[in-house]
Amino acid sequence: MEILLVLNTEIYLKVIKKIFIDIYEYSMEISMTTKESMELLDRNKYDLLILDVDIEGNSGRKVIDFIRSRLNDKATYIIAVTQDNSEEIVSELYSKEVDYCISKPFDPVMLKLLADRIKNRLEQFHCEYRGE
Amino acid sequence: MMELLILVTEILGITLFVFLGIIIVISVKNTKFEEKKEKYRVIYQNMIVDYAMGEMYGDKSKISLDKELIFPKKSNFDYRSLIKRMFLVELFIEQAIIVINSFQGRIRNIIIEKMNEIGVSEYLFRKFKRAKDKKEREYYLFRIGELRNKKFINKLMQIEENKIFKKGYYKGYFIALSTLVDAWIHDMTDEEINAYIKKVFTVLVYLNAENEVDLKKFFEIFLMGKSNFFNALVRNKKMRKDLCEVIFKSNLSLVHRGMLLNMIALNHQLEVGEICLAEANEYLAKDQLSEEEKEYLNYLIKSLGEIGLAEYYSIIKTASESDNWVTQTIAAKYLHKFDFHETYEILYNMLFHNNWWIRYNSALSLEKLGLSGYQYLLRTFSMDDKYAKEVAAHALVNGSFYNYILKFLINENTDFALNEISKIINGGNNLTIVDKLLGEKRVSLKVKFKLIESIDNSEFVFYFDEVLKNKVMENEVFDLALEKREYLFQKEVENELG
Repeated sequence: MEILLVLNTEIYLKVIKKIFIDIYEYSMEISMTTKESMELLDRNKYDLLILDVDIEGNSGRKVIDFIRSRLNDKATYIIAVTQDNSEEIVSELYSKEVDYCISKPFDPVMLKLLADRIKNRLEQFHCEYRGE
Repeated sequence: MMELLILVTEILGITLFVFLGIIIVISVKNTKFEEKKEKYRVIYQNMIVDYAMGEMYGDKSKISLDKELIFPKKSNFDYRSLIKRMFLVELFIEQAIIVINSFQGRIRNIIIEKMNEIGVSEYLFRKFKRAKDKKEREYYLFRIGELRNKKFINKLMQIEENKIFKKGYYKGYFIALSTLVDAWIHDMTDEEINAYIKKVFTVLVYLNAENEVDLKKFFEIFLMGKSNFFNALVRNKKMRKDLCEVIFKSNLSLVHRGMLLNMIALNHQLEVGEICLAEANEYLAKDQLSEEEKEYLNYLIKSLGEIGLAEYYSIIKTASESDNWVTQTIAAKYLHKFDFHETYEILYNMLFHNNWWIRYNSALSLEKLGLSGYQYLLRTFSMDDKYAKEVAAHALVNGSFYNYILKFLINENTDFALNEISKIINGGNNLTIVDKLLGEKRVSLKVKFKLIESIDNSEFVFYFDEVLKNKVMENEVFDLALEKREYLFQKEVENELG
């Protein structure tokens, strides 16, 4: 499973990198700006996008719009991480076709479990597709 | 002369040169210091993250966070390095707090436990006790709170209240205590919750006394929003009394005290009535009240009205006779909670008061009293006071009376209902009730006809003009309204001609 992590908070990056890359050996690319993340999304295909909505002053939404509307990519799972977990914001994110919303401060173990779940679903889907 | 000038120029040049040199040295040192700080910050953050990861996943890179590493023994350092070390300790704690605040779950708990184990809270507590000024004390208190160490927060709670307030570090204390809300509330015993509420409340009251915070906002965030607190407050009578005592022992201004008592009465249904009653009696008995005292008395009356126990009736009644119109208005607003025969008479008489607020609140209060209240309001339409009629009509048409009467009309039980309505229509100049009823789809055409027929008030000429011009209505009603308009117009002309 290919993951793109779009975050620019040092502590989150450190912990997520440790868990996902060093310990569980997920294939993960990291981008710390929205511009770079859009370029990466345009060039490559990812299965999961973990995105800090609050990056560069709420610019995370632009990345969501880019992938869902501009690229018309409905297949990539999106986990949005947000500081504001008010009903209004969460509904807005779901309306933008985000798959999961998690609010800060979050439990990185839960984030990893969520990624595991997505990975299992994708594997199951591929098996069914191949008729295994 | 020339030599002297050269000498002065040389001295100035050298001074400038030395000065520039000093600036360069300082800025280089500062840059180095910032670089060093950044270097250590990254080292410490990595150390903390690695330690947590090691604990969570048994990683090979697991490192230990020993007490000696963070807090080296004094004997190993000279004074200068100790200062440097202390700076690094603060930097380390800051990084630990970043992890605690950024995450939830195991990673956070591991760091909280470790910080507790290696004595970070103890260190901060010592620093807090030795702090030179209020700002520093608040800083350390806040840090202790952020570490969410139950033992130390409990220790903070054991500090004598007098000490807190004499030294004036309650803001930091409050912040430290408030971190307990999310971290420990589920583990707390009832006794601990009570002690906690009392502490937080006390600090809040003092904070407000110093005008440092918007008390209402804090009160809502930290008490009202938490169901545990709310339950504790409601079920625990001792707590209620304790909190009231806090209010009275504090140095709150009268207005703030009143506001707080009222807030408790409004939001928490606490037994503040006893206190408010005693206070209100005292202030009502005074001959002359200052502006502040008047405002305080108003809050007391409001609180008593809000609680609405029958035993408070006499004080509310006394308040309704006050020479302060605000006090009278408040009394009028709450009198409906005391359903005694005398209440109706008092409210009825207040409908004719020359102050609009008193009239208005009396009308609303009477309306809330239901059927008997309606009768008192309807009585005004046979009187010659257009202002009383105005508020009575407003209360009746916009309150439960309208729905009460509507039910009769929908069921075509018209005699009683139209009799009551005609008192309003023909006794005053109230157009709203007719307008609302004519627009009701559930009322039959027959009843609407009867309603129009019952109108015998020339004020309605204008109303029908407007309705006929602008309103979409059933043809039959339209025709009848037209007829009625002509009739009323003729009548008005005849009246004018004498």
